[in-house]
Amino acid sequence: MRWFLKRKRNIFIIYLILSLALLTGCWDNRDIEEVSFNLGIALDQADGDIKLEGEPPVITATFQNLAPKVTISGQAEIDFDNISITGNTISKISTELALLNPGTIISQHLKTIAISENLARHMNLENLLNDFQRNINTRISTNILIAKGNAKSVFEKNLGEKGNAIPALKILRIIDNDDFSLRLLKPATLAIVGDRLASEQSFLLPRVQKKGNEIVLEDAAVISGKTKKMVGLINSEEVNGFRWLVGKKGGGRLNIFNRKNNLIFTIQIFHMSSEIIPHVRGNQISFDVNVYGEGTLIEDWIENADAADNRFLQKLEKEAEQKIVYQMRSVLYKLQKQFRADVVGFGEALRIKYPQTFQKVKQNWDEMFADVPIEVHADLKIRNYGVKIKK
Amino acid sequence: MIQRQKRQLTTIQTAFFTISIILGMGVLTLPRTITEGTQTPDGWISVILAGIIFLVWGRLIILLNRYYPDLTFFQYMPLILGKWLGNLVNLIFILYMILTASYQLRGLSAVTFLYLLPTTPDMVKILIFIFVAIYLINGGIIPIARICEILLPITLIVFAFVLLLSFRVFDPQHIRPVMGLGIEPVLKGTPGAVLAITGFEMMLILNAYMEQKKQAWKVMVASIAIPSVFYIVIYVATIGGLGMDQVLTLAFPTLELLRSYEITGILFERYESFMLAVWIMQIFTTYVGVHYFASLGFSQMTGKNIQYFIYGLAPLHFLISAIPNNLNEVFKLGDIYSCIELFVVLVAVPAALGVAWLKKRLSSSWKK
Repeated sequence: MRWFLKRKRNIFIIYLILSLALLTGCWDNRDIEEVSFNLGIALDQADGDIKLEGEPPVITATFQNLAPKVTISGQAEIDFDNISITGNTISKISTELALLNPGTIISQHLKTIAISENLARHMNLENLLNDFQRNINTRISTNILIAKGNAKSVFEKNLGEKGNAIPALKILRIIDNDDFSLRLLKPATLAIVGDRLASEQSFLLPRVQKKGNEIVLEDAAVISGKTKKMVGLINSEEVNGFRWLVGKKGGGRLNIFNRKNNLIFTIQIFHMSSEIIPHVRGNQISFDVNVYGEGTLIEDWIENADAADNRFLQKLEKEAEQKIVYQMRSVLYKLQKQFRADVVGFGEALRIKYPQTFQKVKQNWDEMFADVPIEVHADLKIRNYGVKIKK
Repeated sequence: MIQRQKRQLTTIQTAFFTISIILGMGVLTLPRTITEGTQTPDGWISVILAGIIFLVWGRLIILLNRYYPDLTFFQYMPLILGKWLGNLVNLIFILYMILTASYQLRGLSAVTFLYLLPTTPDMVKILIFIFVAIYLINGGIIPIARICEILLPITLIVFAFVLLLSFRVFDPQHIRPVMGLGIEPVLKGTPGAVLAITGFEMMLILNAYMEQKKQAWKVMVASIAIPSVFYIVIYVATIGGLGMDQVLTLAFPTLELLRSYEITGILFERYESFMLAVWIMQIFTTYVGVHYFASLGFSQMTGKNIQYFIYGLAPLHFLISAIPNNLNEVFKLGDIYSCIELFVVLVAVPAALGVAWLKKRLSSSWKK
């Protein structure tokens, strides 16, 4: 090495090579302060006040963009801007956005799309979401939600709120609690929504709303696979029933509040599963649903409770099973009679067990589903009772 | 040391070479092309079926090679079928390879335009690709085989990794029931699967360069079985993750599968760029392979130096790759070259085998 460095010309060559590496910077670079990261989009029905190029406005889209601000002390503070634009298609709106937003908008990190109930009831979701599916700049892992009232209001900043909670991300963090509460639905990504829309299956979307200053996830919207529009709502209690019927991995709390028998207790479910068994006899289709759960007794307000006594636990199990059956019946009644939408996947179960039969009824399955007899059975086991045996 | 000078391939190199040629554009489109035929989630059985069919024809290729173990397809075809007919078949085979090469170039530019390099002009992408390829091809068959030997394991590992990660969006409901509507949908899906396994017929040429020719049948089995298993995994993961009806609506379902989930907690959240990186390597090896064999074919037919053809074919590939107007015509080009390939494998190979067998039979009976 020494002999090599002795000659001045060689050092010069090394200098040249090093400067080549240092000087050729990122010729495609963009300063992170100058780009807007689009994190959420709220879609509302247009008010009708603003008109663009003489065409009737249909949608008001609110883009929630990350806007990092550097404070005087030099610390970066995460903040966001909401920009609302009205237009008749999504891509038209994004074109408008480019006219007024300083800097490039990067939608690679889009996490949440909230659609207002009004819009979802009137607009074909396949059209509404087409831009996001076709466009390579948004990922199909984006989560879709329905918003009560004004979707824009969900994304609004709370003046009193401290910290840096960005509503578009906060919603998703709330959904993370879905193994704690049976009332929460797992988020539906654009991939899942796309699958349901393509196969004309009805499905549920979680509903978000602003209550006072808080973002609350409550109830769920039923989307019809045929019309691809929202047809109605099921309440949180019915979401409970839905989650039992589907029996996906996860859990939550089952609260029983029976004043009459003085049975007030809560079971933390840590395992749940369900089995949908279709039966075909001639032209008659029927279903049996067997739901199985395991849980821990975590609270009871019962006098003289003695968890060491199996008869006591069995009493609670029976009471809980009745509650589960009631929840499932109530959601099924609403889905069958009111909305005529099979969001649970009875059609899927039929397709897997009796493909030939399903092929015949596929065209108007949701209509058939409304009159199909469904039997539900629940089996719950209390495996644990914490560290307290008796009062 | 003397062994090294030989222009011969080891058994593993030959297998990796063929597999690298098979894996190409099909990786990204396969779940859709098969499902378009089946309309049920039974496509993975179609892949098995296509693999079995090709094993039979692969056996015919091995038998044909045994008549002239040290000659390539281009050299022995004129000997078997006569000068005119043999060279005609050779030209058709070369046409297939030219179209394949152009298809890979165009597919590369179409996919990178969508997913990776939206602002880079197509010409730049394709030309850089061709230049690197020519540099490798000039080295001859050994460096090409070695590149395959290096790149294929990387590809398989990365693919296995990203497909395993997609397990979190996997829904077993989507791939059930198995043959719910009988065998008919499976048969309808087989052509799509057959088109994806094209490339195994390169053994017609590679056999002449093999060190241990007795292993040729093993190479053939491996180079059909490994891509088949690979395709089955891709198919099941994609249909299970995205659902059959949605897959039918997507241009590149395998990539969309990777875009449908995000992993938080490890260093990277998104994995489609990894997949694209190794996929481009596979496109590269496919392109290099067919470009080299097309040049080799011309050079062995005319007896001229191979360099003329290596440089001569490059602009031709570039021009043909510019012909399709849109993605539909690109996919159509893929169908066309696959049909030509099927003609070579399904018609020319058995015919040549029959003639070769007859000739041997007649000459040995005359000797008696």
